[in-house]
Parts: sequence; C-alpha cells; structure tokens
Amino acid sequence: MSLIQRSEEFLERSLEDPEAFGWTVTLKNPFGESQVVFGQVRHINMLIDIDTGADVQQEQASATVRISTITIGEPQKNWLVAITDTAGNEYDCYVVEAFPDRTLGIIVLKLGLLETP
Amino acid sequence: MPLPLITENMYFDTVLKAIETTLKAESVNQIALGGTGWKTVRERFDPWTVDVDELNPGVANIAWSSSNFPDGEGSNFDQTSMSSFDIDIYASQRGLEVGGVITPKDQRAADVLHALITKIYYTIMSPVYYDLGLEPGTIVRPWITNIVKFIPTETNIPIEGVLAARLSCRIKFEEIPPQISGVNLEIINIDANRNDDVDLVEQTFDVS
Repeated sequence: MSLIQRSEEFLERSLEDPEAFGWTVTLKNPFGESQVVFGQVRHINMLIDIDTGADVQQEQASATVRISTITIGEPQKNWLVAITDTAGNEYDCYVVEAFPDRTLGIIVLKLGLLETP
Repeated sequence: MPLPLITENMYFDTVLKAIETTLKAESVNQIALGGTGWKTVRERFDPWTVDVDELNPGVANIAWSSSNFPDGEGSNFDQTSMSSFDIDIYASQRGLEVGGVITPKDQRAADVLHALITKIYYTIMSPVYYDLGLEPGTIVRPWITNIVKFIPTETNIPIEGVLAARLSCRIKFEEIPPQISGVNLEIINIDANRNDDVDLVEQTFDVS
C-alpha cells in the first residue's frame, strides 16, 4: 500500500476521530438525502478595523470532510450543511464553494451561514 | 432641534455631528413610520427600488475627507470652504434558504448596501434636511458628488462577504480663515439693577 493510500486511510484518525478534533457535520444534498459525518469545522467571527473608529464584523465558516465517507454524492454549491458549536447551538449553512483535494481524499467546504427563520 | 451656529474652533466637528444627527433623526422617523423595518421616502427621483423591510441595517461611518478654499470667494474675514465628507457604508448578511431556494449572503448584503445608499442619498438631498440642522445659510449646499462601491481590505487582503460603498458629500459653507482671529468691533454693555419688587432702579448703557 502506497503512502498516499495510507494517508487517506489515516484520515479516520487525523480528520474524523471524534475523540480528537473530529466534529459533527450534517450534509444534505438537493434530493433531500442527508448524512452525518465527522470532519473539522471552523466557525469564527472576524473583526475588521477600517481605520475610522467603526469596526465591522464578519462571520466565516468552513468544514473539511473525507470524500470516501460521503455516500450521498459529492458536496457542491447547492448543498446544505448543518454545523454545531461547542455550546450545542446548531447553524444552518449553504455551500458557497467546494474545494476537493482528490489526492489527499478530502473536500473543503466554504460555508455561508443562513439566516435563522 | 437645530444645532447652534458653528463657531470658530469647531467647523468640521460640528458639520460632522450635524450630518450624523440628521441621519439618526431620519432613521428614528423612518422606524416610527414603518415599524421595525427600514422604509425609504419616495421623492422626485428614484435611482433604486429595493424592498428593505426584512433586512438588517449595515454600518454607516462619517469622516471628513478634505477641504479646499476656492480663490475669489469670500474676503479677508470670511472665506468659502468646500469640504468633502465621506460616508462609508458596510453591509454583511447571512444567506437565506426558503423552500430549497438559496439567496446567497453576498446578494443580501448588496441589497442592504443599496438600500442604505438610497436612504442616505435621500436624506442628504432632502429639502427637509438641507441645512443639516445648522443655522439656515451656514450650509450653502450639501451635495452627493460621488458614489463608489468597494470591498474593504485587511492588510491588503479583500475581506470576503463584506460589501461597502462610499458616498462623497460636498458641503459648501462660509467660515473665518485660520490666520484671522475674530475681532470685536463693538462691545455693547447693559447693566440693569432691580430692587426686590423688580422695579428698575439703575440702568447703564455703554457702547465702546
């Protein structure tokens, strides 16, 4: 087995392990199918200093998951994603852009947060 | 409530405050008229029509940009100032999903941005606020000269998801040039002394 393949297999430990940094990501495709996977999630607020005394805040989120774990297709722009924070609050998002890395076997999903109805 | 007439030492601050006060007053009026959502007063021209009721407002920031003093206007004692103020607006929104249809966050931010541009444009150009709360005649004419859309940057990197626009507002007003301090031409002094029954017992009048 090549080192690349071993690296992909090791994603189970390095990316998805819930005892490490693996975090729940719920994927939902346009056909209504959903799947819960584990990956790494980033959800931060950036404070932008615009040099005028008024700060502007901007929210960013992304999720990185293992491609081979996903069974309902490959995430694209029209997919929905639900993530949670460490306090247990759930946030609905849509995929702004998907960046697959087919060598490493991961896909980075740049997320846009959705307004809570 | 009009602000007091500008004084020698507070030209720009006062005008800045006047613009800010005007915008705030307009916001309160519009909210009172239209409930919690933003409403735009329709006037003679209508460059944008955006339904803004369901959107959250963005951030507006006012800063003085430049002043110049045209030749041939004013005198040694009063001088015409053409000042430019930049009103920067920033908008950042979340996306919206209704029935499987996603409205991206950038599009919603653009809606807010356009709505705020419209609102500020109308407010500045509205005859009601023509004097920007200052003594009538102090401000000759507030005028939006330019509107530019831009994406703010942080350490030269564009900030994703935030849209911004700058309205340049030119204001012409009269002021005393900095090299001339005010000179009292006349001092008028009146003393009036009254007794306990408020009758006038002594009066002096002095003009020097």
